[in-house]
Amino acid sequence: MISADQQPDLRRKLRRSKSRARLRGLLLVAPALLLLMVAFVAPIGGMLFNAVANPEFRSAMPRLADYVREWDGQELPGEEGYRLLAEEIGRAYSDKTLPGAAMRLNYEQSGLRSLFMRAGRRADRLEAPYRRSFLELDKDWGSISVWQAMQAASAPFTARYLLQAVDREITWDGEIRLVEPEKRVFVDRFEATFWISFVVTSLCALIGYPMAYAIAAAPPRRARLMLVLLLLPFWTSLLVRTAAWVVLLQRDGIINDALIWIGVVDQPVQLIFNRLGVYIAMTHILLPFMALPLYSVMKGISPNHMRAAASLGAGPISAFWTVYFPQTVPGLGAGCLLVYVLAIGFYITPALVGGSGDQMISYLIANFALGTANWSVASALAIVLLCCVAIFYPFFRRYVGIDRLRLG
Amino acid sequence: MRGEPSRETPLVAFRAVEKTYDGVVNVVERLDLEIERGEFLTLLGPSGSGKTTTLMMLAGFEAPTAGEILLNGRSLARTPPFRRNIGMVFQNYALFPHMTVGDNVAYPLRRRRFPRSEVDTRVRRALDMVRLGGLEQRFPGQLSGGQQQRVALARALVFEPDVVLMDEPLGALDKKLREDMQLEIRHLHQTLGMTVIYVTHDQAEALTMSDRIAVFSDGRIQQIGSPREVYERPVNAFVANFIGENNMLPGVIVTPAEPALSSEGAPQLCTVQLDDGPTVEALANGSRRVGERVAVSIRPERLELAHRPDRRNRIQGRLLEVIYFGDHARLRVRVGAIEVMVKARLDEWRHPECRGERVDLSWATDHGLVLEPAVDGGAAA
Amino acid sequence: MSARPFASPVERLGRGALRVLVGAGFLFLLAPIVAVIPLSFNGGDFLSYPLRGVSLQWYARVFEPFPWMTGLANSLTVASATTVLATVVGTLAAYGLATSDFRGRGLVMGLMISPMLVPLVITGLAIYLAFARYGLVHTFVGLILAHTILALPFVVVTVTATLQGFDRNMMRAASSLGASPLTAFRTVTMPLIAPGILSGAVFAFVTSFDEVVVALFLAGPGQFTLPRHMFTALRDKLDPSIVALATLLILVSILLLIVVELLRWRSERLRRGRP
Repeated sequence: MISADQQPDLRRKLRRSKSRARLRGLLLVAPALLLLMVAFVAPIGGMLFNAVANPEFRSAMPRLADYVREWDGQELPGEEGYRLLAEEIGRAYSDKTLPGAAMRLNYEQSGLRSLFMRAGRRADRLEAPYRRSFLELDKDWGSISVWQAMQAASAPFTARYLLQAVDREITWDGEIRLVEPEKRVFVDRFEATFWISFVVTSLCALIGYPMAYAIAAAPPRRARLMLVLLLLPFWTSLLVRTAAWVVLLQRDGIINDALIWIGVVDQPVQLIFNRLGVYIAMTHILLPFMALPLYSVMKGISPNHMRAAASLGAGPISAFWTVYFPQTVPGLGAGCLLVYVLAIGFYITPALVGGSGDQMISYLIANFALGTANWSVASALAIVLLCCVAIFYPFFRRYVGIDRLRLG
Repeated sequence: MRGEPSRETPLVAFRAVEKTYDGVVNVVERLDLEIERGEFLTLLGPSGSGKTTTLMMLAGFEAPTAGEILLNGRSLARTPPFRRNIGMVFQNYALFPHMTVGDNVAYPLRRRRFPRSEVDTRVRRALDMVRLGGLEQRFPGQLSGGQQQRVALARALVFEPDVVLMDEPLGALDKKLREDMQLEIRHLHQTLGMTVIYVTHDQAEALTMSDRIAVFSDGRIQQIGSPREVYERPVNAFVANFIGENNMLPGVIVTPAEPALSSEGAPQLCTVQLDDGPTVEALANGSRRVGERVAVSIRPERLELAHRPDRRNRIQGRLLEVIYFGDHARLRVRVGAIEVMVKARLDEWRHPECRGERVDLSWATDHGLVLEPAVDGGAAA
Repeated sequence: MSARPFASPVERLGRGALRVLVGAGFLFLLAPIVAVIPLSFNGGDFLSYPLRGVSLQWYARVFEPFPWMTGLANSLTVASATTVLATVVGTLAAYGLATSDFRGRGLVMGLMISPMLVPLVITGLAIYLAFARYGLVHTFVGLILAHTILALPFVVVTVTATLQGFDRNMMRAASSLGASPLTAFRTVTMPLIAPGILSGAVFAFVTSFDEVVVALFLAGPGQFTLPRHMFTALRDKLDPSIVALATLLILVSILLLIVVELLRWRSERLRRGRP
């Protein structure tokens, strides 16, 4: 043992000798880390900000935003408020920031976009007394909910997009509630996403387990060939495989021809552009991710274990369940985790082989972003999806690790 | 060329060297050790005793936490491993699998920018020396374990390093091959006159090969000396039990060694009352007090079975078991509360096996050593 | 496993069932890939059997400049740049992670592999929003950077796996024989891990070459890659030339798979010290 008074000195020496090796390691990692920070971590952080940012109204009409922030929200503002409203609308209209703000207000209450745009176009005709002038333009300007909407839109941050992503909304007095039934679209999609992923994971496990077992039990040369065959679809472009399924599963495709020829059905059945197509194509794509970790675990199980079980009086079935299967659980767990996490993020395949009811949450995110350019809702949905994946991350590092991620 | 250092400077010197990985426990404790030119020194000890760490510090793969290491009288503190000119044979050989045998052996020469013709001659000579001539073009994976071992040896010797370090180099070989290689390495050492520091946990290997053995335990050298000294005059129970087999008979000092008679560390005779039997005489290294608890250490092969009334050191026991070893037999004998192992020549033990039979054991006085009692006691294999 | 001499009827039945199951599994995996190949030679306009004559008309369409050949050119540009960038950066990182132990090493490793697990739509959207600010959207640079992020985990995972099998004593041996760290890396480490790095590079290439989601966000019409064109073609109408293209791409994948298998074989031979 080392006496206590020596220790600080020793520790320092130790640190010094280790710090050089650490520094070298850090320098080698630095370029990758920098790249990841700039092009991955920071963008995701930015997206998070984007999901709660609320800049449109404030940047278009800053003075009005300050005014409604101060407003107590109990009764309609007086002439002073309407005068400010007229000035700000007029200015925002002329510097072309009004459409963005009006769009933002429309999220709070539908109809506000046209109300504000109309006022903007006629801003030069608005004059004192402003309140009368506005009411003459449209009697909706006398409604307190318009001002409440402006107040909600003037805060620097808003939870409305995140809430919207889970079909909730926040009322003006701070109550969180479900949106009207016809607007509840997202939770339904999340549920479909989880369900599809669950079914695909189960299918992969059912098909992948015997396959991995057969490869692990085969003599080396044949095992190698089987592995290559397992990996071939994996190396084939996702779009090529999806295209192949579209071709095979279509109404006059081979599968339907075969089914009719066998006599299972007498006319073509719908195999694609529905849930079935999604299950088939996704299972096909994700199967190697299940079979490979299983195989790597099974390869490490000594055949002597099964022999020992047999010598101890276990029949083949009980030997399998009591000796073999428990040892493959880590591989099965890793495979299921991997497949499930990857399945949750699927977009292309369901988009191409599924019907409208089979789209997963990624489709909605892409649609909001690329279709309607509603970046806030897209970001909020992405954050919720990211959280769903992040839940699995600790398990991932523990049970999958870097070794089982190796493909091929 | 290197300057010729004076005769007095040892080739390698460890001066108060310490090593710790965590700042709490020392893997090597204040090591002072000098190695002479041309010597074959073995660091022997169980795993975790600090012997490999000592070797790694000399090679430069670990830095001492305190103290310094000198090679030819010069500190190695600022010399990186590749400038130390120390050859090393690794446990699993560490042959470069992507290079041929020839390229492996030529590697240190090419790093030192030897001219091509010189490289070729030296490689050939080195491979001939380890009896692998003509295998230059093979790859390591095409060789047997013993051949790989010899390539590693040739590679570590070809550049004529100041010292050759060997870290359990024969650990991966089977028994017969290992014994052949032990002799081969010993002969190479003798013919080339090189300095070897050899790490092993195999005591038989240490005894056969070394000029000196340093027995390591708990980060300290317990004893350093010739194989004979270490085997026949172990300084403590650890050394006695670790090297060879040993019986420890617990007892109490009756008459201590005469301090007046003890000259210059020569062992002195003292009398010990055994817990389970008579009073015996044994040699003690230092002075012992009357009444001190000790153990008398006797090698199993030094115990004689015949009833020898002329011997002063006699004990009696009951036979538990006889184990046949082909060239000798071993007898497990119960003596009071302890068990004693006896190695008997076959002609010495002709009786039919008879459990429970009474046996007389005796030994010559200078084969019994007084040591502090071992914590676990009894014989260690 | 060899057939057992005393297989019970249950066991034999189980074995038979396993064979059927495994056969069905492989059929499921390979059938779609194999079945599209004959369709690519179809003389008719429809993608269905029976074939109406044999023709190379769809292949001729594939080699027309638009959309496939321009897409291919763009894909190759992006994929090769991505491969170089991801392989260099990823190999350095894997080497740093494998050879030194600094605080937060596990965290860095976790971060490196996370682009593999984060849904592509999220990565695409996040990068789009960030790059839009710097004018990198609808540029090759932006697309290459984004693809490098996606390819990085594959390189890191492959090279790390290679380094794990690398005996540290190898470097020590080189050092004791007189090689400076740089020389030791060049003469010992590099030749031994090169196959691993190359297969990491192939993974990086394929990742970029197949990628469509991030391309949907970041590629403007000027950067439309092959998969991006294929996505449009599959979504809008099933153009038979896509099957010819698919067949060609399957050939490319088989080729790449063989390359990776050879590299693995080479790496194992090298490790075991055989020519």
